[in-house]
Amino acid sequence: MTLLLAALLAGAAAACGLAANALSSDPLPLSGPGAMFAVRDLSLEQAVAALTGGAVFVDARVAEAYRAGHVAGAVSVPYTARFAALGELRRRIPPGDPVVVYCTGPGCPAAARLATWMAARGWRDVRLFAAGYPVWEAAGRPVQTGAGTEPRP
Amino acid sequence: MKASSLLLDRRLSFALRLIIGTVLILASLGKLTDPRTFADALAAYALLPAAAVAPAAVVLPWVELVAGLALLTGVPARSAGLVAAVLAVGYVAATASAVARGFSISCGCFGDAASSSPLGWGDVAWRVALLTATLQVVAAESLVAEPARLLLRRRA
Repeated sequence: MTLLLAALLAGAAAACGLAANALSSDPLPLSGPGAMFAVRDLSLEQAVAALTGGAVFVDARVAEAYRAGHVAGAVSVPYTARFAALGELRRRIPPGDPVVVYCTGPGCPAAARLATWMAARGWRDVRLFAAGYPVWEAAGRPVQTGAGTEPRP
Repeated sequence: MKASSLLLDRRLSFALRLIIGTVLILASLGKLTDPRTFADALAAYALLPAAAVAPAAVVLPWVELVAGLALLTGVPARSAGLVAAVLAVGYVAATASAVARGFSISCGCFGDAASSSPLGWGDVAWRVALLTATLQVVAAESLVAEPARLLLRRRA
């Protein structure tokens, strides 16, 4: 009985929240790229402008994918290796530098998570390029292959 | 007073209900007026999958508001205590994980922006205290509380 009532209370509250958001004059997008928070998502053009403007690109994919091809000048930070690399990452990318994180596209959560993780650790200007490497490469934007700037083991 | 009788004390649970209810309502108001800031704060914990952040930011403040109102009015006190206890477990887990992972993020509890002071172990302790209070409410308002109270009185 208590459980049922508690579930009812919470359910009614959740329904109120969703209804209030739907009726709001400025509703919060619940899905799609607009629903990304803490880090701003860049369009291809904005990402190109960020690269020209000197932003540091961070490649959140696995090292093999990075070697096969990455955004020119990008730093490889495989999402799974982020904890081990934190100290070195702080030396290589000063927290004041603008950062753009990408991986293999909107279906790849690593870039968004790495971006949030970096923003929480003191990098002040972290943005996301959710479209990712395939879109960048297909658009003929500057790329590089090889080990480049992988973290030292 | 013994711990067992404090756990079931009706006056204590009444006072705690007023306190927890007020805290929850105040917490919900700041977030209700600015869901975007709350969504940013929630995302900074890096706990929820990215797709769940916006729905949680929309739903959570309302759960807090409804639980807070139900705790203040006492209708239904036990269930409201249970919802508050589940919320409190979430606060403890989220805060502790953020502090343990070395995140320097703000709470976002009262709709505060990312610029306010970062979380520490003291904040975790406060949330554990809140959780304890909600558990007292659930215990004191439960169906078995009345016979248990009688038993304690007879033994005293």
